[in-house]
Amino acid sequence: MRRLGIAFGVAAALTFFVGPLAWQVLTSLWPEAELTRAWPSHLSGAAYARVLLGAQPFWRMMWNSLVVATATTLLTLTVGAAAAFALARLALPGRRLMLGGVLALSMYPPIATVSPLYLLLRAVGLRDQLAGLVLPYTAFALPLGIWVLHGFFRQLPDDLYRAARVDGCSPLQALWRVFLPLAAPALATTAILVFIFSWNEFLYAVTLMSSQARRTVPVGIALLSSEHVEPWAEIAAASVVSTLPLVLVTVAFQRRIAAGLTGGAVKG
Amino acid sequence: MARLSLHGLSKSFAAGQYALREVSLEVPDGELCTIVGPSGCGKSTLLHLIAGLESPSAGEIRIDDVVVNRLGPRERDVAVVFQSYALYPHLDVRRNLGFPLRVAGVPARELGERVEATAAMLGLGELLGRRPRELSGGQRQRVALGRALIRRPRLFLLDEPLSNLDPALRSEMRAELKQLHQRLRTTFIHVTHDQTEAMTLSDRVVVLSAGTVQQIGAPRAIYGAPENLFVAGFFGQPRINVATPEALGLAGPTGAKVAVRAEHVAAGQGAAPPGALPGTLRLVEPLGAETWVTVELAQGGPRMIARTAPDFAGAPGDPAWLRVEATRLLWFGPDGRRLPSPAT
Repeated sequence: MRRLGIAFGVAAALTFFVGPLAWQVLTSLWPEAELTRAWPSHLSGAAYARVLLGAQPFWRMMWNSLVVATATTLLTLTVGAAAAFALARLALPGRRLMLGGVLALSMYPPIATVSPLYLLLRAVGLRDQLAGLVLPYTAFALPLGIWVLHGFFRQLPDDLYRAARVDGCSPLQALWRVFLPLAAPALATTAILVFIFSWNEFLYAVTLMSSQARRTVPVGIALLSSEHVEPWAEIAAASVVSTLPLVLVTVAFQRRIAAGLTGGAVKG
Repeated sequence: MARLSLHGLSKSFAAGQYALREVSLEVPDGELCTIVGPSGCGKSTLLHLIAGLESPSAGEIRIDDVVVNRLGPRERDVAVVFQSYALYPHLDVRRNLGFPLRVAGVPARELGERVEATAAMLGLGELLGRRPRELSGGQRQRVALGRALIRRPRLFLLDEPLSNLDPALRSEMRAELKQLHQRLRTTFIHVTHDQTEAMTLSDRVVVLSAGTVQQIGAPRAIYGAPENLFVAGFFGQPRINVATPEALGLAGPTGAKVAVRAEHVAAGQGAAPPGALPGTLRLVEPLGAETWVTVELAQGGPRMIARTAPDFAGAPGDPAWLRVEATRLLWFGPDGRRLPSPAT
């Protein structure tokens, strides 16, 4: 009876998480003419062919998204790790205030910043430049990165930092040689979250980029629909393809999120 | 090889709250000096100040007559063995040992040779490929020691290096540490809360309490001639007996206290020898080589512990006598400071 309950719970959870994805895959393979039928006569890859090889510069958008998401992730990790380390380990005055400020920043609604940001980026010549997306994305991803990494650095024993200093490391060397290698799981977690955030971001991408050559995937998919037609199969196919990089990134980094890496640093 | 001198060293974390106050100390080259005190007395802070991990609020730190107050840990050329060992968990033993040399940019070949030599000296040869988490407590301790040794530092700082080991291993490592010091003849500053470690290991002992130096001296001098009641009570097992002079039938200045070590107190049953005080047996603790006997003088009077022969027989509640060697009494004033013994 209990096992039945567990099985039911697992099935429900799977349906909840995998269901929409499965539906999307199914939609992408559903022949357009049979959309209203309960079950298709056959499955077809025609929508994939239209999306991947069609007139819409799909690969260009994928490339843009990849560039923006990768750059954002790298920048966030670099700046975030350095900031988190300084806040966690160095005797900075006003550390709590800074951490609080960082958190407050992440609570700011993005929609409120769109117009000022647009004017700002135009003023510095970054409107319709991919860098003009990377910078705001990094700004919005940094609070998360700093908090995750700060929490991790804080939990490492004090003596570890002292040992690195006594062994001749400057603070920056201690970060590079001791703290970053140990923080691999936290870095991987942050990287996944930031990458997904920037890959999926829509609001800034649609307002700050104007030319077709600078479009990212979410914007491109949204613009697939025209006034009279909703190309469901193509939207679904494009969504499926654009999800793949996320899956790959997650799988690649997940291996690094191995617990117990710090075991043995200290007694016990 | 270095001489360390501290001059009026103070450290306060918040205004008016001192972790250390006016600590002055001279450690000659090659000495093993132990800083001992109860937890929270400021001994770890003192070690961090010497290592350059924290900066003093006042005072001077000199190594070989050079003021190092403003130098970072790297420039001071000082090695520390931490209580928690603080090995780098992501590096194997070989890399842990070689870490300070790698940071210093020592060429790979020399680095390899020195790692091998250090590992051999500490019996770590078999373990070079292991990560810290795969090592036992004693092995981690050796790696931590090796990581400090490999640099051939001018000054060795040991922060409670033995306190995380189990008792059997502790006395073994204690002996090993002493031999290591005798072989290297480098200056060692050793911090501990364990009076036995302080007594057995050191050339000289610095007793610290509440951030101030209570006494500096050779272990025997500290034990035999403590300068105040705190030092008298901190050293020795069992604890030194403290009583008012009146309780022992002596006359002394008002508010004075007398203290006497258990080995200078005799206890027995039956006919009391001349000069003995009557009392009641309260506790008999056989330790194997000797037996500690606690006798209560009069009813509700002070309890005194005597070291007696291992075969002492008697049960709590029995009448007993107690005799104190009058020449061994230590006198302390109302402020806890040692007084010259009055002529008897």
